[in-house]
Amino acid sequence: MTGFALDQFDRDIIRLLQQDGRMPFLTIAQQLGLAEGTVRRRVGKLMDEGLLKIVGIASPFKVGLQTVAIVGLKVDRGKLQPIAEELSGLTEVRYVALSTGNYDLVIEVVVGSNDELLTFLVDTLREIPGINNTGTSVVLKVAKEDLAWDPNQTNTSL
Amino acid sequence: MQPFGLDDLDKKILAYLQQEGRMTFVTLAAYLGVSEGTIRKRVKRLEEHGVMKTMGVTDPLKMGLDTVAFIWFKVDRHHMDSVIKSLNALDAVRYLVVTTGGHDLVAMVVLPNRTKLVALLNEQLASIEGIVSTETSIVLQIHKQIYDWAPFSHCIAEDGGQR
Repeated sequence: MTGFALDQFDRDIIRLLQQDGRMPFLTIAQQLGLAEGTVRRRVGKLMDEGLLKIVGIASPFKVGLQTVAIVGLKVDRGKLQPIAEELSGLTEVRYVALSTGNYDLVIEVVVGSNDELLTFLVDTLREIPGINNTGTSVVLKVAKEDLAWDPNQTNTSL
Repeated sequence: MQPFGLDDLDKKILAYLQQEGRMTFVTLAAYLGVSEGTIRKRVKRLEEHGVMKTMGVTDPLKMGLDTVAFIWFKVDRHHMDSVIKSLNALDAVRYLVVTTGGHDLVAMVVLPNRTKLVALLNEQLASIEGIVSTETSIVLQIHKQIYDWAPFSHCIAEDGGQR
């Protein structure tokens, strides 16, 4: 958590931008009963604080990245952070999380083909010392992808 | 799914918008040497075909949604479609994929706290017929989360490097 406390307006602004990242600030302002300048300032602040990014998100399959895989890794305990950093530096890795459970790390890999995935699993991962075991799930189909989680449904709201 | 036929202009537009989703069409048009109307039409086409979507993204852990987890499922083949449908309908499930390997489905769930995760596992998932077993990995920290995976940045790098 950062030291920045979100208020209800911040959450509502985020909720609207999750639906449409290009929603005009004026439209947001009108929906929330704020001045356009206020919305603009708050969005700027949220972005400066690293709490919000507004980006065009491509569908991997539609831009020719035909292979997506979720890989769980078991690693040497003492090397968890350096391995996470090394994996984060790889362009084909779009998501890296430290986790509990069966795996110490969960990553998502996006590459052009099954051959490239094989190269990644066999060659790229072998180069990183401390990775003991991997479990690879190749994505056949995305059944749901909705990154717009409700910013109002938070820990404090319960 | 067949890749969408992207031409050079589409790739450049994507490359810019992946970095800065609210870049104005006027600015994009100036960078790419085409009219604003052309940019508008192209972006609309990319959106309509599901190639790209512009949205605000956050780290749920920084937003006070304290519990992010991956759940690996083994599913009875006969119930695959109905299990997918049931999981899809759950608000906590934000990402659901059908996979090969040791498991049949992988879901990423986002919840306000651990209590809600327990309820999800013990009550909601338990009531879905066809789920044989689950394994859960709770995310302690998100180390990397990027959205600019479409590898088109080289398309704009040679355009004079306005960025």
